Amino acid sequence: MKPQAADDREAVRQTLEGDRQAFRFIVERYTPLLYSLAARLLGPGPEVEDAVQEIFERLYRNLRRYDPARSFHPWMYTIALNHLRSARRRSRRGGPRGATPVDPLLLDARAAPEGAREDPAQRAADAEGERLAARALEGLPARYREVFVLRQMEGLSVAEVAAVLSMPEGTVKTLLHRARQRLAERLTREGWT
Amino acid sequence: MKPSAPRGVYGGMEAEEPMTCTRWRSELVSWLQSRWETAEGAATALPRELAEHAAHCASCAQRLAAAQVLAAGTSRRPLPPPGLAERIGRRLLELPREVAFRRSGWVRPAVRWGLLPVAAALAAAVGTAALFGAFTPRERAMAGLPAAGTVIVRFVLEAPQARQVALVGDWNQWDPRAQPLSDADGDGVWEAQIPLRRGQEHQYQFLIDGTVWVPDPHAALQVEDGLGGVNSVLQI
Repeated sequence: MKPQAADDREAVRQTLEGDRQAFRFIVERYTPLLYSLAARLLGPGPEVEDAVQEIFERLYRNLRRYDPARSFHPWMYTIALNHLRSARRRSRRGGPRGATPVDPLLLDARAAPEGAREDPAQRAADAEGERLAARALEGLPARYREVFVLRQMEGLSVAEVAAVLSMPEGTVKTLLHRARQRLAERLTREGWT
Repeated sequence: MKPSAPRGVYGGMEAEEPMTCTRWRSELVSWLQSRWETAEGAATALPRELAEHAAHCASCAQRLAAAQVLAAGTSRRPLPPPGLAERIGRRLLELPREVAFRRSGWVRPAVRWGLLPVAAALAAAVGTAALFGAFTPRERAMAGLPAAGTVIVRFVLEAPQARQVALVGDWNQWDPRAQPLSDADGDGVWEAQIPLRRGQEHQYQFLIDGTVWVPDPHAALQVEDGLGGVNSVLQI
């Protein structure tokens, strides 16, 4: 077992034995990953933080049901995805997300992503890019979007994506290919922006 | 913005006329596809032509920004705001303690702040005979049971802000130093297990940090202590 996987299981075991502080180890380690996943699936906005908080609460409450014979990572991602799907449904009631303009000042409050530029005009362009990318992802069917984000953006292996989404590996590859095609099409479409 | 100039030779440095947006977009997509197919970490530099056209075409600049977000992998994640993990961790500690626990027989919320006469727990473990003193003294000692006529009572108080919590009652002459509770795992739940005589009424309170008197909020009976406060009453 890789050292990191062993650490995760040990933290889970200790939490279940009564040491709640042990769960904070899980929170520290996985906040960046889950934040990234949530931001990419929900699009930029203040609900991303709430979603991450809620995912950790779900993980914590469901810890009893985690089977230590299984790997922690895919179990965590499965729970995260379930929550993000329902979070999307809740926020959709307010209208399509991609249409909400992202306030560049809101993005300024976050740590700047690598490669983000200092110049305010460039930052506004970056914010616009995030909005459009989110809109492009919104336009994908749910399974395409999930495969694309998990595999392409979050770097999960094909096997792991297959486990998290409960689909054969071949399907993962097919959906990824189709997602890429559709996104490319979007980018070249006339009058899209 | 679609100039109708005929296409010239295309090959990097030999392009002779301004790139059209249409052509630019298909170049963008080629670049994006190559980014997607490249192993993470291997750079696929943005071709100069792409950057130059985008520098003076706002619409294409937006598409470029979107493409860069879509090309971003694990090396260009959106970052959480500073302190987020810390805040989440702290809020989780506010959840009821037993939420995650597997251990059966854990203190349920209703009695979390009160007593858990171990008589009930013992009954589950060794059968109701223990309650009726059916064991010989030796059997009782071997089973770790308290002496006949006493029962071990577990006192529990949730006081996350406390530095020390004492159990103060008539059986220890109200001495705050006699029976401190302990919180071994630091989760704010203090407890102690105390043998008390059966068939008697006991009065007690908790004393937090040597200064704050707290009756047991879930004791079935409370009586005035004659000093303006309230004692909790335990009848076993």
